[in-house]
Amino acid sequence: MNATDAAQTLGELDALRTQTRRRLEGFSFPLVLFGGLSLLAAAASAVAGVEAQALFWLFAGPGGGIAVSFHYRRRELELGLTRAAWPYVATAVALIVGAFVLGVLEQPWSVGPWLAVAAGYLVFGWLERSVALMGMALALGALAVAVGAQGVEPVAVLLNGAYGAVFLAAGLVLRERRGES
Amino acid sequence: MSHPTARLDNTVHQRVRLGILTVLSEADRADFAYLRDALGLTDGNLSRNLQVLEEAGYVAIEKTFEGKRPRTWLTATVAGEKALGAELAALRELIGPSERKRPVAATRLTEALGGTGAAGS
Repeated sequence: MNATDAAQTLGELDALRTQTRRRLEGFSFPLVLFGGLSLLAAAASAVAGVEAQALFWLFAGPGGGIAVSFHYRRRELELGLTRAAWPYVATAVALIVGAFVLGVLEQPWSVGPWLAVAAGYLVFGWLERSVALMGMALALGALAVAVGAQGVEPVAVLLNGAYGAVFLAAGLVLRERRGES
Repeated sequence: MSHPTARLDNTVHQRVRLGILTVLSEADRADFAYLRDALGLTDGNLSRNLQVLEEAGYVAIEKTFEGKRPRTWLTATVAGEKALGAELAALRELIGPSERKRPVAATRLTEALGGTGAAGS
């Protein structure tokens, strides 16, 4: 085998790897689901206060995570291609626990839970090798920092609303562009 | 130091088997029908190549039932992943120094930013 053959083989394998990865991608469902839940949390905060949205997330966070895991399981069985679930499960658990702990501690400002969510999505973007998802997570994290630093109120309504709108829009765009189920 | 071609593994080097291990290294596992369609093979051809990889300890084969329908799942073993990595390293070495020993983290970042093999999302 010479260098030209080796380069061609590596190119074909890269294409095959990319094709496999693309078929495994299915991030639109969690974005749409958690976008909708965040908008509901924003409404709960506006109507019933910050405690109501904390109670909402106590059930909606783990419940949404379970729904996402069922979605991936069904999709992968249909496709005949599965990926290791543990990095996603570990990230989701860390995100949920981190958001609740920072919410209880109210540190480093009242925006702690949203920083945990942004950090979680940054890791999801890394796992998905998606620069768009990582960029979105960084932008939302920066927004949370700005809201915390400026002391803008009401934090829960603003950030749940912003996160929800961005997640929902990104999820719908992904679904439209890739025809994800 | 030996020429890179001396480090090519005959079991892995065959194109179909390289393709099988590449798909299985990217996914946790794939079923028989997915691999057959993704690689454009016949049932017989895929079976023969899987048998070679299984005998070498590079692929694990698990037969299950979904309802009454049989389903065959394939997984790359640790030895299979290592053999594929060694094969890719030998191929990169054949090409030249610029492609040698690309760190995994750097590769992943390059891919995320739209480089070689990018998901491009």
